[in-house]
Amino acid sequence: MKERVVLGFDWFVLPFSIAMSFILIYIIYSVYKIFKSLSSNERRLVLSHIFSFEIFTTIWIIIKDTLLHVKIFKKNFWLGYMHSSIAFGWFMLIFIGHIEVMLYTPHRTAFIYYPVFFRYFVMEVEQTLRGGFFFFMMDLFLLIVLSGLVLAIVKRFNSKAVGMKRTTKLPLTDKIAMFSLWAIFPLRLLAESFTANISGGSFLTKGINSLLSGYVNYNSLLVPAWWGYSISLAIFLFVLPFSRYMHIPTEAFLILLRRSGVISRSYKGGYADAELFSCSSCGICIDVCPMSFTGDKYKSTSAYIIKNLRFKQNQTNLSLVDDCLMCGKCVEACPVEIDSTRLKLLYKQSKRNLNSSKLELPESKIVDKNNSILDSKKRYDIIYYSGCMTKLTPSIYRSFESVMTKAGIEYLHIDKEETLCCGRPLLLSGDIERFKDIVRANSEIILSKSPKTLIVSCPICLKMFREEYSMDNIEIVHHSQYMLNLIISKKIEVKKSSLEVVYHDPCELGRGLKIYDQPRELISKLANLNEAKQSKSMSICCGASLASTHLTTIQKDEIAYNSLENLKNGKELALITSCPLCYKTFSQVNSGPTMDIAQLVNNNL
Amino acid sequence: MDFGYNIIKIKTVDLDRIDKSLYNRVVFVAPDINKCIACGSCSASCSVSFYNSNSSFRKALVAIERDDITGIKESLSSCVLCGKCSLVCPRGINTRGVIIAIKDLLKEEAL
Amino acid sequence: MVNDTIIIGGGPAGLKAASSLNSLGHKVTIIEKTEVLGGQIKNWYKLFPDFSDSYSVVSNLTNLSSDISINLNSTVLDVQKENGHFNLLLSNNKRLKGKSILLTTGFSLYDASKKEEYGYGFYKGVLTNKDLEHNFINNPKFIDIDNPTVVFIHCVGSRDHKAGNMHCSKVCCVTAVKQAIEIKQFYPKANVYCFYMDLRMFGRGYEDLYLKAQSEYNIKFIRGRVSEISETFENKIVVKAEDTLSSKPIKLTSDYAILMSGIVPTKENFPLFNKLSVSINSSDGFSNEPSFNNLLNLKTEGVFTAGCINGPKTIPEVLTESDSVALSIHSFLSR
Repeated sequence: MKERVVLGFDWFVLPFSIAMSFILIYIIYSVYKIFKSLSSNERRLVLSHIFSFEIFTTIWIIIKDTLLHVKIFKKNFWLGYMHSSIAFGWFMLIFIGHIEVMLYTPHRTAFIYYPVFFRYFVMEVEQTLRGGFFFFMMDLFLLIVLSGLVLAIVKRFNSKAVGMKRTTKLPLTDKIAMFSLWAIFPLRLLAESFTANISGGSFLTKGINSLLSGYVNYNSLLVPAWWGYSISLAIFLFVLPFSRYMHIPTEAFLILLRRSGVISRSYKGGYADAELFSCSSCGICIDVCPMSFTGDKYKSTSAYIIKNLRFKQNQTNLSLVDDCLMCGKCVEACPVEIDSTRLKLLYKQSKRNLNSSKLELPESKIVDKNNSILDSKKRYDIIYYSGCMTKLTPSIYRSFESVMTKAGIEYLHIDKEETLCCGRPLLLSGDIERFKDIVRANSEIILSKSPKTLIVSCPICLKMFREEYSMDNIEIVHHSQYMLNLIISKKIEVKKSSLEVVYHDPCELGRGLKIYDQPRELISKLANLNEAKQSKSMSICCGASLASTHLTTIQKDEIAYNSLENLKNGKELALITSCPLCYKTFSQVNSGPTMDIAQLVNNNL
Repeated sequence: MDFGYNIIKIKTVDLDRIDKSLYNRVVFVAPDINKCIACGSCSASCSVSFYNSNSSFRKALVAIERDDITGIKESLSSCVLCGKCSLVCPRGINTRGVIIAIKDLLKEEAL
Repeated sequence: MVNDTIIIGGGPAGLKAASSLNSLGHKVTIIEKTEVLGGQIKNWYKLFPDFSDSYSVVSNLTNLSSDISINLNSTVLDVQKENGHFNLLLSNNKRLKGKSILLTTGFSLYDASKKEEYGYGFYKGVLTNKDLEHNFINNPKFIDIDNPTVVFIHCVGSRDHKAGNMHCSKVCCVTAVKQAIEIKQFYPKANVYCFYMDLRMFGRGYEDLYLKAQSEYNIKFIRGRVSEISETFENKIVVKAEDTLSSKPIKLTSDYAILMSGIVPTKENFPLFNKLSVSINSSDGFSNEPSFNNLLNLKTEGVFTAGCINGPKTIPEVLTESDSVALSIHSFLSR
C-alpha cells in the first residue's frame, strides 16, 4: 500500500475535518464545564477514583455498556444487536482505521481525517496477508454496522418487530441527526466500493465494485461519493451536541462519575448534566412506564421529561413532572442507569420549596393531658405504627393485632386512635420545609416512648423512617419481616393451605428498599406462591402513587387493571399485597380475593 | 346601602358582591371542583382533622366560591397531602391534585 | 249501553289504561274535564331525564282506538250504584252506565301565591315551574337580556308545615335540575342558582343529570332555605336565604326566581271520592293507603285508582301503574 495523493489532502475532507474539530473542542469544553460544576468534594472523589485500581473495572464497564450494550440484550435480542452492532462496529472501524494509518502511512498519523478517508488516499501495490486481513476486518465491521442500520430503520417504522411497543417521537434536530447518521454508512460503502479497484478492498467493497463496474462510471462518481460521505459525517457531527446522540461521548464520562460515587444534587449542573446528556432517547423507559397505557400520558414518561429538562431547564412544565408515579421502573430498565426519578424529585423541590408557611401542627395537642397512652411515661419496647392509609383499610391492622396477640407480644399501637402521616407525600410534592415539620412532630411522638423496635405495615412509612428520619438506634421493620421472624422463632405456628396465590411487589418495598425475598419466604410457608410475568424489580406499579397529582380516576383504574393482568396472567389466583395503598387499589378492581400479608398469616394460624 | 354600620364587618354572604376572579382561576386549573356535593367525606377522613378542626377540603371549596382567602388558608394550611380525601370522594374528584393546584396558585399570586 | 269501565280523567294514566283495557277487549269510555286529552304534561316542554319531547309522548298516548268513546268538557255531577252497576250523571246532562270505574284524576300544582313571602303574583320576576314550561314552549326568549341571573327555589309547598303539605313531591328536584339546564341552553351566559334542602335524584339517569348540570352547565347548587324574596328599584328581585355550608345568611339579586311548586291532591274531587268510597289519606290527602296490605290484596267493589291521584309519580311510573290496574280491572270484570 502506498499513498496515491501527493499532499494527502483533497477538498472534500474539509466538511468532516471542520466538524470533527468542532466536536472535539465542544466535548472537551463540556467535560470541563461539568467537572467544574462539581463540588470540590466530588472532584476529589473522581480524581481519587481515576488514580486507583478501580479504574480498570470502570473501563471494563464502559466497554460493556457503551459498546456492547449488554443491558439492552436483556430486554430484546434484536434491540440489543441493533444498538451494539452500530456502536461496537463503528468503534472498531475507527480503531482499526487508525491502526491501518499507523502501519501503512505513519507520516499521516497526525492528520485528523486520514483514517476516515484512508481508502481514498492509498492504492494497493501488492496483496499481502496483513493487508488482506485489515481489509477483511474493515469490510466485516462495515457490514455489521449496516445490518444494525437496517434494524434501526425497521424499528422506526415498526417498533414491535424489535420488541418495543412504541418508539420515541423525535423533534426536528434529532430527525436531522438521525437521517444524516443513517446516510453515513451507505455513503461510506458506496465511496469505498467505488474506490475498491484502486485502493483494494475485501469481500464487500470489492464485491460491489465488480458488480457495478459495467453500469457505473467510477471516474466521475468517485469524488462525489467521497464528498457525500464527508458531508453526511459533517452534518451529523455539527448537529450532535444538540441532539440525542450526545450520549455517545457523554456516557463514558457518566459511568466514570457514577463509579466515583457522585450523585445528582440538582436537576441541572454537575452529575445531572452528565445524566441529561447521556439519555439516548432509546425509548425503553416509555415501554415499561405504567402510565404509557393511558391516553397520551406517554408525554410524561422519563424520555420526554429528560429532553425537557435538558433543553427547557426550569421552564419545563411542572404538571408533566407531577404526573410521574415515582415507581422507579424506568430507572430499573434504563440501559444507561439514569436516575430519572431523582431528577424529577429535585426539579419539583426547586419549584415548590418556596418560603411556605409553617405547617400548623399544634404541638401542645400532641401531649394532650387527657390522652393517657400518649402522656403516660410507660416505655414500650415494640411500637406498631400503622400509618394514615391503614385507617381506610382497617383489616390490615386488625389482622396484624390479632397475630401479635396470639404470639403474646406486648406492644403499643401508637396511632390507633389518631395518626399524622409519615410525610412522604409532602416530600414527593417537593415541599421540603413542611416535610421537616412533620418529621419533627412524628419523631417527638415516637421517640417519647423510647422503643427498641418499630414495626410498620406500610412500605412508604418504612422507607421514610429508615431514610429520612434520624432513628438510628431503633430497629425498623416491615410487618411481613416481623411476622416471618415470629414464625422462625416459633412464637406462632402456621399451617400451609392449598391456596394458589400471587404476590405483588410494592414499588416502595421492592425497588425502593430492595426487600423482595422475605415476604416471599413468609408466603411460601402459608400458601402456594406463583410468580407474575414481571415481578420483583420489574413489577408494575398499581397506580395509587402519592406522587402523581393529575391522573384521573379512570386513568388510575386503567393502570391498576394493567398491573393486575400482569399479576394474574389469566389464572385464578388470590392476590397478596404488603402495602395498604396497593391493597385498596387492587381490591377495588380485582374480581378475585385480595389480601394483605397480615390477613394471610392470621387466617393460617 | 349599609346604613352606616361600617364598624362591623358585614357577615352576610353577598353573592352580588363576590369577586369571582379567584374562583375562575381555580376552576381553570382544577375544573373538577364544580362536581363537589359538599357531602363531607373528605373532611371526615382527613388525617390532620384531629389536630386542626378547620382542616377540611369541603370548607376550602366553599371558601373559594365565597372568595374568602383567609378561609382557604385556614382549611388547607395543615394539609399533609396524604391523599385519603381523594380515596373517599364519592364524586371521584382528585382532591389531592386540586389542593396542590390551589396551593401553587396561592403562592403564584403571593396571596 | 253498559261500559265495562268508565275512566274519569283523560291524562296519561287514563289514556294508558284505556288503551290496555281496550286491547283486552273491553268497552271503555273516558271523561275529561278540559277540552283536550293529555293531562298536565301536554303543557310541558321536555321531560326528564333525557329531554324527550313532551308533545310526542302525548300524541302517542292520545292516539286511541276508535272503539274508545271520549267525553270532553265534562265533569261528573253525581254517581249512583245499583245492581252492581254505576250510573253517572255528567255536567252536559249525559248519563253513563258502567261495570267499573277507574279514577285517574291526577294532581294539582300547589298554588304558589299562597306562599306570600315569595311574591308570586305581584313580583314580575317570580314564576312557577309550570309558567316556565309554558314560556319554553310559547315564548322561549321571554328574558330580554342575555346574561340573566335565574334562581330556582326547591320545595315550594312541599315538606312545609306552613303550606299544609308535609309530603315530598318527589319529582320537582329533578325537574328543577332539568329546567336549570334548559335555561342555560336558551341563555348560555345566564347565572343559574338552585337553592335546595335536599337533592332527590332517585331515578336512573338523574345523578348523571345533576353531574352534568354542575360540570357542563356550571349551575351552582346552594344548600339553604329561601326565606323571602323582595324587589329592588329596578324591578329586579332580591333572594334571601341561609347558606348552610358556610353557616351564614346569603343574599343575591336576581332577574327571575322560579318556584318549584309541589304536587298536591285535587281537593275539588274529594266529594266524588267520598261517594265512591275511595279512601283519602289523612296526612297527605292522596288516595289509596300506601300499605302492603292494599298492594297485595286489593279490596274493591269496582272502583279503581291509578296515577298521581295516589301520590306524586314520574311518567314511567304512571304508565306502569295504569297497565297493572288495567289487569286488575280485567280480572275483576272476568269474575
